[in-house]
Amino acid sequence: MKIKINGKIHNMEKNKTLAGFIKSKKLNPRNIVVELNGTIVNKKNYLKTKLKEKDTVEIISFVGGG
Amino acid sequence: MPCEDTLKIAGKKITSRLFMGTGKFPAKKIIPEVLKSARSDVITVAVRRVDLESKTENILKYIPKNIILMPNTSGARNAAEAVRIARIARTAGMGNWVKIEVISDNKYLLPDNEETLKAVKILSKEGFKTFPYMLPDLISARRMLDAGADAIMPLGSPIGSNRGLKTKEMVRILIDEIKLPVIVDAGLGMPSDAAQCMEMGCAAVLVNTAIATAKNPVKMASAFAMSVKAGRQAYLHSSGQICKTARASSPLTGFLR
Repeated sequence: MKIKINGKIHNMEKNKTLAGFIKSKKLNPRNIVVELNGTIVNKKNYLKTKLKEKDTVEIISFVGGG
Repeated sequence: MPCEDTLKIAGKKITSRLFMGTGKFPAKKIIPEVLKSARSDVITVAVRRVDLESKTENILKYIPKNIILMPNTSGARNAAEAVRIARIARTAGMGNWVKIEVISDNKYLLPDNEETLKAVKILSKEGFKTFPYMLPDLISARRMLDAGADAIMPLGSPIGSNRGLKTKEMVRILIDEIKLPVIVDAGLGMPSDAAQCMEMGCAAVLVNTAIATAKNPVKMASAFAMSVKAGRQAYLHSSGQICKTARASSPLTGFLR
């Protein structure tokens, strides 16, 4: 299935969870915020959130800024 | 003379009137030492997409726990984008302070007061403590106050330009007229620029580029901290008298003539 993550299309196997994707990218869930189709996902729900075809995901973190 | 000169903003007591930005540091690991030297209580961070192709360092790792984090909405080109960024930051546990920055001009990075005001209205109603980065315009500042802003952040000169307080007369009007803390943000290049803001009665200044890109950011942070303190002391205690002609400092009697 095709999923848009941070503006780019990613090909992904079906039934992948948000937690699974985060782990595959070696991201620390504590340091990121995830938006799924425009809604912020509670960290507790990463494991039970299954990604679907045409989902739009934004993975966000904090960087230095003025 | 006040025995204690603490800045109170949005219900919090702030001891240092030097706010610091965390962008552009050559190495993030020096940030804790720079913060110690600047003695800042309030710092800004930005919200960005994670680069999934390369490992990016987490800035929060370098920020001591007692510091007030103020995410900015940099990258927002309109009110809606600023509101989205602020909500993301709060959900991530950033607290409710937000520097509202809405910019659609890429050359001078000047703020869009109209869109900024819209974001202040929305976010203040949602319980955010809002700090709009703005052009120093009195009428806009009055509207920011009415919309619920907790302080206003007029620019000194364009972001990262190090050109100093080019907006001095306009900022002076804001200090005189607006019953909110005025925090000059952007363009302050030298400690003397920061001192000048403080001597005029600004509540605080925010410095990033001048410290982060200095030959020695730790020492430059210390220089800014001293100038902010000096400027504040002068604001509180100077006579403010300026004369066109001389006023003798030594007695005008008993000359050895």
